[in-house]
Amino acid sequence: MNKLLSAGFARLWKNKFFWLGIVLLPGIIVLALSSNYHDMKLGYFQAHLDDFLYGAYMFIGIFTAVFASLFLGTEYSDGTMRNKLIIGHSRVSVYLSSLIVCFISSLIVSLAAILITFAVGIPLFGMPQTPPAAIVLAYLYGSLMIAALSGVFTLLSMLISSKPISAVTCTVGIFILMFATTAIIQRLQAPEMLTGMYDMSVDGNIIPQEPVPNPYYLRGMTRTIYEFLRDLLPLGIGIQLNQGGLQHPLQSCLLAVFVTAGTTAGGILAFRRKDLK
Amino acid sequence: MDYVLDTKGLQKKYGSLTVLNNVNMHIPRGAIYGFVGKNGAGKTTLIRLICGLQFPTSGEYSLFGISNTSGEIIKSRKRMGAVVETPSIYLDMSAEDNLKEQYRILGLPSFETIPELLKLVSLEGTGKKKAKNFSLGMRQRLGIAIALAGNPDFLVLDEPANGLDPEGIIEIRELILKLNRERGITVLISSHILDELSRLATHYGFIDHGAILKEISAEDLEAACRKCLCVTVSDMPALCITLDAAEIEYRVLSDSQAEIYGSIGVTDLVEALSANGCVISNLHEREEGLESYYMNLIGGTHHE
Repeated sequence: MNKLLSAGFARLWKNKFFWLGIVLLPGIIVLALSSNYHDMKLGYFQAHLDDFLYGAYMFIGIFTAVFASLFLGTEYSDGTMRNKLIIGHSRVSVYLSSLIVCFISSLIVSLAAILITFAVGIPLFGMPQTPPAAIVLAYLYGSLMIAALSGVFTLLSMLISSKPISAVTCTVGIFILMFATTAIIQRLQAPEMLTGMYDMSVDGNIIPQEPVPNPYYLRGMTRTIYEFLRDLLPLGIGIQLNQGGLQHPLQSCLLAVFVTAGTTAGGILAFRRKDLK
Repeated sequence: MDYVLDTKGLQKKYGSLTVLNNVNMHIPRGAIYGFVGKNGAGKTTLIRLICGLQFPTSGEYSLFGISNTSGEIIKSRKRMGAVVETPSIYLDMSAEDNLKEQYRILGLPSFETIPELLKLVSLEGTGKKKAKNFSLGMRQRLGIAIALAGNPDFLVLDEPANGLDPEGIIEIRELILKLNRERGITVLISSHILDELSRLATHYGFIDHGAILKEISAEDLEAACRKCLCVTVSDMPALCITLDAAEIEYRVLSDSQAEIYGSIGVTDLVEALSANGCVISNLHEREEGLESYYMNLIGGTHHE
């Protein structure tokens, strides 16, 4: 597999989309930082660098999805997948090397964004207040999310032989994943009790009301299922990190590992049986 | 005989559709094996099977004596190179970069032999030009160069002349002959361009509707093909009398034209006919070739 990895990384360094990701994602981070700094200077709010440390994880999924479909799709569209199999590389090696290249490329792009966050963010907002160990741990969570996303989109890209169909599927897939995860987290964040409601007396006085139960608050088994889905969907980690931290760090990490291993095992099983042209 | 590829009862089904049925094929070492069949006969499917791109539904094959059911088949595959359908090349890379990529896949320690390989396929002057800007012939040759990167003993070429101009076809032909003669590479070449194949092949395998109809060496094919003399004469009865007297097989095509089979001296024929007052206005030799042999084999009713 070392030979395939060597070939994969050699191709990666020449891949335009990879370099576009290296430029684009940090570019978005710089824009977000400078925009927030501008607003802070106008006195709209007080911001800290901690608020932006994990911004890369909001967008890395889009890169992973598009990159996997284009990079691996080329192997099908140009027919170069055949070159690997004809000379005797096993399908497991071909699959795993593709997964590793996708994972590492996304990791590099996210690292570029993280580095730029510190490089630009520290002069603007000062040092982060979160302890360094907690930041490193959060980045490890983020890396697990990237591994899970790589697993999902490598599976799709390796099993869909048509590059255009693969690109559309992965792109649509990541946005569905984003919307689904955001919707789940929003439902989970609905308050249990509705407060801040007021009534007006006949003489025109405003009377604060007692808090009332929120009908949209999830309870019981429904809440457990929603929490499980939030932790299962890879983007749940990224969104939670940007909202202050993981609710269930251990479960999220274990599920990310499970998604990575599950998609890889399933992908290999299907790819081993796949008739290639 | 020492076979590079030996298939036994190979079958491939896609759902209920049987594409290959009980294919038994034998490619001797050092041969240029012409794999002949019309579109959809199963040529490419068989090639995909032996290249490991697809799996047989039943039956088995051996590459260099190692069965596909053995894990060792991977070692045999390292000794083969193939261009299946279209050349497998990265279109956004130059010829040299494509070869470097293949060298890495093969785990070759250095790129020293790349210039030699590019020269072999006449692509040494392409520089940084990307493969997407290559002509079809150049892409085909680059595909062959990639297939040759691992210095294979067995080269599989699926329809290498497809879409090429006459010059490109000649270049590919010369290259295949050179590889076979100078490097001793066994070549499996599938094609339905029979005239082109007949200039190359030392052995033939004919496939139709997923089944091998016949395997034959070029020598045996030549021997099996009948030669005849086509004549146009002024007096057909005189020709018949002359040929009957000489006990030579013939076939009358019209009042003035006939085909004469078997060996006959032209001078003797002319003199004998002249004595009977018959004049030959046209005479030429015609040989039954690969095309008519193939058409006879498949029943002569099928057309591309």
